[in-house]
Amino acid sequence: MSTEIGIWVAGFLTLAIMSFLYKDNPVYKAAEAIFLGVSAGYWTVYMFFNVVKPLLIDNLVKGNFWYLIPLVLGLMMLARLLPNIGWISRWPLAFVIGITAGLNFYAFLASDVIGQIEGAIKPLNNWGGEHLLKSQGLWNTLASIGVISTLVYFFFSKEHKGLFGKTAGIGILFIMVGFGGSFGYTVMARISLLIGRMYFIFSTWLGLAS
Amino acid sequence: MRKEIPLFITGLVGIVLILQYFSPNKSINGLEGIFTNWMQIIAAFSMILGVLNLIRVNGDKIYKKRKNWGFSIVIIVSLFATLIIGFANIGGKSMYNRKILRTNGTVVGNITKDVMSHNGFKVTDASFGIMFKALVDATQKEKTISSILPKSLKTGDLRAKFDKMLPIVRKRSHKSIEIVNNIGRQVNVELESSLKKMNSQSFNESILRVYDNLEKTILEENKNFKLENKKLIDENIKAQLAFLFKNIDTANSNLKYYKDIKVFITEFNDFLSKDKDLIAKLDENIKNSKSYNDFYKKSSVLFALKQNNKLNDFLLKNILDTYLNNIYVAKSYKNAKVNILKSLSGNKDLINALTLNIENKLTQQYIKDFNKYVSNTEQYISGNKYVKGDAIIKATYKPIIAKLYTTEKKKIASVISAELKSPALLKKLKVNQLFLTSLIKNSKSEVTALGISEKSSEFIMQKLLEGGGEYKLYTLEVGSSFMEIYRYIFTPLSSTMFALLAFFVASASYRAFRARNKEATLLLVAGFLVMLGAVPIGEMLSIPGVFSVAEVSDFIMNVPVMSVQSGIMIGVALGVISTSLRLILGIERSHLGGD
Amino acid sequence: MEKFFEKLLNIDRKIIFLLIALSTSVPLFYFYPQKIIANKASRKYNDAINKLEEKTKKGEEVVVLISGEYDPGTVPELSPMARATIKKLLDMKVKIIIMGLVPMGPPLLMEEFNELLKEPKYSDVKYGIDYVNLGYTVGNAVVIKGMVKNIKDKYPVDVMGTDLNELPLMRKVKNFDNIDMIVNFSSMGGGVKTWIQFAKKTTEESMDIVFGCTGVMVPESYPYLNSGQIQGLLGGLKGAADYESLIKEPKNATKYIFAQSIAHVIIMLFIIIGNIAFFVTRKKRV
Repeated sequence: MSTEIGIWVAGFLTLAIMSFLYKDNPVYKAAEAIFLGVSAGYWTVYMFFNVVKPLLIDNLVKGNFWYLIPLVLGLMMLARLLPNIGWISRWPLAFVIGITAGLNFYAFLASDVIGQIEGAIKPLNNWGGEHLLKSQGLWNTLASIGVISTLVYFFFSKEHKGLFGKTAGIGILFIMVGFGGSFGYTVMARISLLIGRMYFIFSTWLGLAS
Repeated sequence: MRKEIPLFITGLVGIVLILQYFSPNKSINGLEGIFTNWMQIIAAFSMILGVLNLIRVNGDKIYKKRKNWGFSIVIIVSLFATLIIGFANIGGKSMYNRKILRTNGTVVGNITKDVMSHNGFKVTDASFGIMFKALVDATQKEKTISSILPKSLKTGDLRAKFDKMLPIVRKRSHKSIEIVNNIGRQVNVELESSLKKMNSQSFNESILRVYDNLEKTILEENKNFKLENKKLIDENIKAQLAFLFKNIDTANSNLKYYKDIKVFITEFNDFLSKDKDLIAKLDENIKNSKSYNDFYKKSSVLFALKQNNKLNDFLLKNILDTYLNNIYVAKSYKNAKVNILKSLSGNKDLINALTLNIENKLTQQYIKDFNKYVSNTEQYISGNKYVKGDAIIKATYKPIIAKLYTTEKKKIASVISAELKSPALLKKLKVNQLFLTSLIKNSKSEVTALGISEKSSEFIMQKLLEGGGEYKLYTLEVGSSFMEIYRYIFTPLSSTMFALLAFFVASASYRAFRARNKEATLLLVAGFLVMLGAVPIGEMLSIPGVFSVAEVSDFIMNVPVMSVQSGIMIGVALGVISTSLRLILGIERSHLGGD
Repeated sequence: MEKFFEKLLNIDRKIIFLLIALSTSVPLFYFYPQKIIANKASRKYNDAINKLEEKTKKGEEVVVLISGEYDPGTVPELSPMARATIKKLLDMKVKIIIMGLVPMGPPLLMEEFNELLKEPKYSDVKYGIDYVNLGYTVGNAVVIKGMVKNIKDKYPVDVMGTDLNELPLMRKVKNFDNIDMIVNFSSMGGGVKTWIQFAKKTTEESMDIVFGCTGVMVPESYPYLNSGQIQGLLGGLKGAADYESLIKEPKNATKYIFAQSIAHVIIMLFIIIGNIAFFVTRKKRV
């Protein structure tokens, strides 16, 4: 059993959250409220020491007055709190959007379009190997069909009819199997985290499991 | 104006960032870094915006006493508590300065100035331990401990000395504040007289004599005690002696410092040899011991004293440890008093005794000695290169974990530095780092490390690891109280919230996951196979050579899942790209709102 | 019969919760050795890492950059794979650089690292020569972009404030051209995407990226594996257990995966029972 006060606090908070499973109760609500308050506080402090201090304050202190611009833009952001001048916050927002758009433009093109199209047209002729069903060629072919039919399925500008409709039909099959697989992994991930919590309770905290 | 300027900003920034992909021009390339810095600053402000909003909404709720307004108070209180600890830094200068010292995962205490100085003592003491070991290693190498002892010292008549001391000890072996106070006074008187009488040579001799006999006694005792490994006992005694040597060594240059230890040692040896009950008990313990460790524990004089209950914790624990530590380590007279009171709360007798003693001139002298001692140590460690520094930092170099040494019987290597904020400070101390590194390297034995600040801890750890051999690290984990909040409140709350999803996923699957039609069945079967394939138990359902769950789930992941995700990814990316272009060109304006 | 199934359909969900709680906790009290068959993605990860060995055997110096981008909430999934990977790299005498794009990343990686270093086997592993911890720095993509050209741009000092020039390892490693592989452990949205987008651009094929992620991120990461944008993928606890078994070093993930097995079986049983009950009672409803 742990002798650390912190671990005990963590243990009780864990139980407090889990108590929600029985039913919504004041203990859970209190833990939830603590979570809200602490995380808001944590991120504020974090932002201050990792962003505001090194990037803004230090630069201004050094005499780099270009950094007055983000300061002003940042303060404009706070204008949202005042209904009359709330529109001012669009300026910093516009800046952020501009950067995100500019950064995403090329990056997504390279990684998620060109890279993925390359991936979808891998060699289809490699049918050898011990077993047809396991051959890379078959997998590659099916994967290419999967990518194309999925894209077709999500293409709503044209009515799903004829060959196009049939491809979309194949697409939905792929999508269903694909989502099924995704579901499997999501379940796995959730369970893993729960196991982690259980391990915390029974091992780290109570010292029962080895 | 309300729309034009934002449109212009978005367009300008976006175009600059796109251009820099294609431009070798350094100034444009640099702009990206600056812009993203700015973006982060703005993001930080939106965080503040969020917090202000949270306060406003919950404040309103509390003010109007809406439903569940009590929880809003909890939100506000925990928010401000976190903010205050993060910013206002109770007890430190910033979130990085307030440290909590841990050893082996147990919080020892907050490093306030007082605790700092207290720990400073221990750490310094530890470095002396290593230093002495190195000294012995270097000069004596493999010689046995007894051969180190001057031959003339081997024949002291301990009994006679004990007889002389016994009445004093007897008198003291009762409880009550009065007696504790008396001890304090008498120790001081004796110290004064012994100091007058003795020079460093005679001081050494007397201690050696005591231990020489102690060794014999223990060895004799050992004859009756059947232990498979006699080597261990020898080492054991060596360890005890090494501890003593450390004192002697230090005493050479700092005679006054160890006067208390000397008296203490003499006293308890006295006590041991004359008190029949105690000896009987000791004998019994030794005979009943089952293992080496057991034996060691039981034969330990300290343990025996404690068991006997004739001396309370005062002599046992505190004279050597706290009493000295606090007095010597304190920066000032006043500070010393505070230190003692703080660290000894819970032992009223002791507090009274020490408070009384601190009024004593001698005590004040200790403090002066301490400063001198520290500077000596500093010189010693850094090879006569005196490194200037804050008194507390110096204190951390003061030699070491005497306590750990005696209680854990391990060669202890420990360090370092009180630096809490500046890495530069650590640099300054490089000479000492080198010294330590070589020490640790040479002692291929179990090493215990203790660090104060995060940086020094990491340093010690690395140095220890460089040294080779086995180690026991007294974890050097140090965190700010802000990090404690993160670790013990934020983390369990957030990860449990996520973990709850496991329950809901399970219950939702039970209720809603139905093979209603062809598509749903596909989804279900694929999900099943992947879930099975993800765990070893799934293999039980495989039919060798015909059907393998692992392979089927591999296929599902590599072909359908991959291709669907890839298709979605391409689609999303194209969407992102076109939206980005629309935003930059000002075609997309929905984010600017209606008016 | 139908009544029974109807009751079953309306079973109190607390019973499901209880069974899930039991299935994820009780197995933790046992260490049940299981045969783990690594999936293709994990095997690729293993191959990619083993490929480094060819170089180290020739006596060439191999440097791997490990970036930790996860927080304590996902430790159960990511720390075991980080531990196993670091161990394998240490065994191969590969030089390791630790960094992170989220604040808790490097400390969590170092926790595993330091635990390993306590083994006598690694007593000759030296800081500054065999590994370096750069710590966390703010900036995400920009950090990676900067490091591609010059690591010192983004990390002038290591986590302890030591100038990189004073660390022998970092004197040799100037930028990503000197790095043989990037290992990314992430629980953050986007995951390895940022690395693919910004780390590989200028170094082309010279450097491999392998990725360890939480189970939730696995599906979205497979396309990168298929397209060769990453060379290996450890997905969630399964990936961690796979890798532990591939390097024959069963630890926490292998321990947890037993509980995971039981929990999966329970959930699947529920789904099966739910479906049976659904079909039995359907007629009545129609």
